[in-house]
Amino acid sequence: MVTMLQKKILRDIKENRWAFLAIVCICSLGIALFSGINLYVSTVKNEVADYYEQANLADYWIYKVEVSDSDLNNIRSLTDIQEAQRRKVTDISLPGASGAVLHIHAVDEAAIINVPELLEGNLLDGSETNALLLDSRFAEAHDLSVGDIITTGESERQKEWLIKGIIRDVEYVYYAPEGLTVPEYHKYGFAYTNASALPDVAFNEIVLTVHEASNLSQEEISNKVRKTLEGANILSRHHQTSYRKVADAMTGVKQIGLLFSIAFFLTAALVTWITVSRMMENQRQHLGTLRSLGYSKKEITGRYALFGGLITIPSMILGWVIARYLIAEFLYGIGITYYTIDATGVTPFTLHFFLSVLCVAAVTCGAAMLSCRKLLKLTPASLMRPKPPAHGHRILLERITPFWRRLSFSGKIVTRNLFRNKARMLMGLVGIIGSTSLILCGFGLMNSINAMLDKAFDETVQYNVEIKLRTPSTGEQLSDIYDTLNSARNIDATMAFSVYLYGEDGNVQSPYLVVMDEGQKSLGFKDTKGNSVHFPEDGAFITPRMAAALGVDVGDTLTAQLLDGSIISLEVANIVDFPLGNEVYMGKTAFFKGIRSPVPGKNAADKRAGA
Amino acid sequence: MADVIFDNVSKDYQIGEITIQAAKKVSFQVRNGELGIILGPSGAGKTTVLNLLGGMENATSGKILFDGKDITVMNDLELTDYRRYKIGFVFQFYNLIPNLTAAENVELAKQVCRSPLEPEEALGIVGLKDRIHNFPAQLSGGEQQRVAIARAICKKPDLLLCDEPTGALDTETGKTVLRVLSDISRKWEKR
Repeated sequence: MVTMLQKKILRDIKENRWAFLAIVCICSLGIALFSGINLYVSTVKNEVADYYEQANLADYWIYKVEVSDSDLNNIRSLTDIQEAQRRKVTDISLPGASGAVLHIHAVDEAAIINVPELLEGNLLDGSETNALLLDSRFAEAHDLSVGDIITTGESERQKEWLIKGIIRDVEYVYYAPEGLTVPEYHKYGFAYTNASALPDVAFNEIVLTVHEASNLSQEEISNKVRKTLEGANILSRHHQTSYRKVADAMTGVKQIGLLFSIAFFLTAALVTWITVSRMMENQRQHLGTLRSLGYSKKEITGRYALFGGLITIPSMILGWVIARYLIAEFLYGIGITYYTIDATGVTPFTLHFFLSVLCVAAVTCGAAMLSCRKLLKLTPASLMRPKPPAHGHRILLERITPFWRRLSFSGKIVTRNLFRNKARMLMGLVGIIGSTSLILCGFGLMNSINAMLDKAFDETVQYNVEIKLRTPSTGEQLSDIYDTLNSARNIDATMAFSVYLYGEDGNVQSPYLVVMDEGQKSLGFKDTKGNSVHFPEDGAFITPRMAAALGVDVGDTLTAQLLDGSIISLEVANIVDFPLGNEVYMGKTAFFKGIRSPVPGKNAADKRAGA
Repeated sequence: MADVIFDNVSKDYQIGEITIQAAKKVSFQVRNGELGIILGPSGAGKTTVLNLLGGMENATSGKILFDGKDITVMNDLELTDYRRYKIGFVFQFYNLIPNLTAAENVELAKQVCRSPLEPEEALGIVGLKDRIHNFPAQLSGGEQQRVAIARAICKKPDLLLCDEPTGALDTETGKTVLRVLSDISRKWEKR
């Protein structure tokens, strides 16, 4: 049964319905923002993690020019290795204007690592030499289906393939090959076929999984593998494009989400606290009446907590609806166009939702109960009297007589009133300072980004076109490229490859090491003081961010490890103010001087041409 | 034995650096069944004395005995019980809850009491039986004051304290209210 006190409080709420509704709205938006973004992130994270587990995503990818049977067996016999399989990996292009490229994996036994998931059609039976399983996104973009024939290669290397099945693959959850920021399904796809279908291609990749109970570090496993297979490149999950991009995207969304929702939540908490406290202040004389009738402090405080409860419950429902059906659904809708996973829909709840509801409950009930308790400290008789006005004080400004004398009468009142309610003045100041700084911050951010972009593209980056060569090229092919670019003003050949840089406190960074000719004109380097610098004969250039991350300074020596295990020692020749990326740059002479073990076999070379 | 004994009771208010003496060494006795009246000019401390007796304010010094018990030494919980079961209070400005009807205002007091009167009955006693579903704003000053009396008497208090119950009313209405009070006092004379 509703007591009269509850009835009174419910009617109070009805009378203050607009203020109440505003609080419910702001609280539900806080809940929605915080839990909506997290709902999306955890949905995708869980779906992807389940998928990795279910399709047995490899822990490591090993690349070697040719992987023999004994190589594979040697890897399999290493301790802590659960499974290992070898594959042939190559790119085949589809002729025609589309310029599409299929990254094709060929296996000689049923895949047990990175198991492709069949969506339509049939799996390969192991004997076909001209059938493949095609990437569902690629098939969709090209309007291909099971039973269709696609032609790859040109002239005498042309080959026709029957699409036997449409698949999804755990290695390609987010398929944006290096250089792309978002997937281009029309241009890049992948396929699976039998090893016998690619007789000209050698086995050149091993995928392996490590026992879950293994306590070997990534470095230890990499070293073991390198010892077993000389000249092999090894990549962990963290270097695998799809895995890394999904993880990075989720972290990014989560961080931005957290930042915004915390800012919003704090504002909501402040507004709610002030409004509820003021609502309670207005109840002052009613509290006095209740006390005079014999209601105890506990009964009154308990009932007024209803204020909080009645704000929390609708905020929770509304917040959940907005979080689930608007924010999470919207983000998920965008997300799954990029992530190729079995989209089972947004999970209804996460812990974050309950956490945010708890925060709202704490703020609203807390504000109601604390202000109630504060009032109830007074005797019933003083509660029944109206609130005495705050004492007027003389303020510091009055001592500055020439100033005070010049103020008009209303000026004096306004100035005194400003200082009379210090809490209110402080809140106002914080609010104004906060919002002004947010606006300034926005403009400042815009200005600095613009300035940085100008600097980056006017001063640092001098080239117009960057050409990346996906596969090793012969000298003949290279001279063809140079011939095509014969009208270019300047062309610089560049090598770039991933390295691990080890800092002083065990900090690891994995930037690109970019090696260029000393006389290159593509990039203009400047030191932190703004003086132009050129590649010295020893040592490399690093950015201030890299220097800070690794805790090094000019003159220190860094150890860089290439993916195939070879070691280069690099002296920090200078710290350059480079606005783009966080890579390490060095001259060719210094690079070859620094090498202790042989140069890696597989290098990405890119040409920088100034037209 | 007297039911209410005020023995040398003083009440000081401290406002900033100034001390205001609202009641100075007040002593009186009221016997069970008596209708006591405190008279005095504005600012004499009438309200303070009633507040002290009703357990709504703490005395600075002196003793206030009710049924032999000193209420100046009671803690907050005991004072709450004292107000709940022993005291009925009628204020000068009625202090009704504006968003509860007459019956509900009485019910509000009834819900914290042992064996109270039903709101209809209490309102019947003050002659407002047909106005029980009206909100305070729909009642005249005298009617509101009678609702306040009904709210106080529904608790069947041992002591009914009325602080200038006719102060905000015209003479005629004031007379009606006083008549109601004297009827109740006679009818409910305890022991």
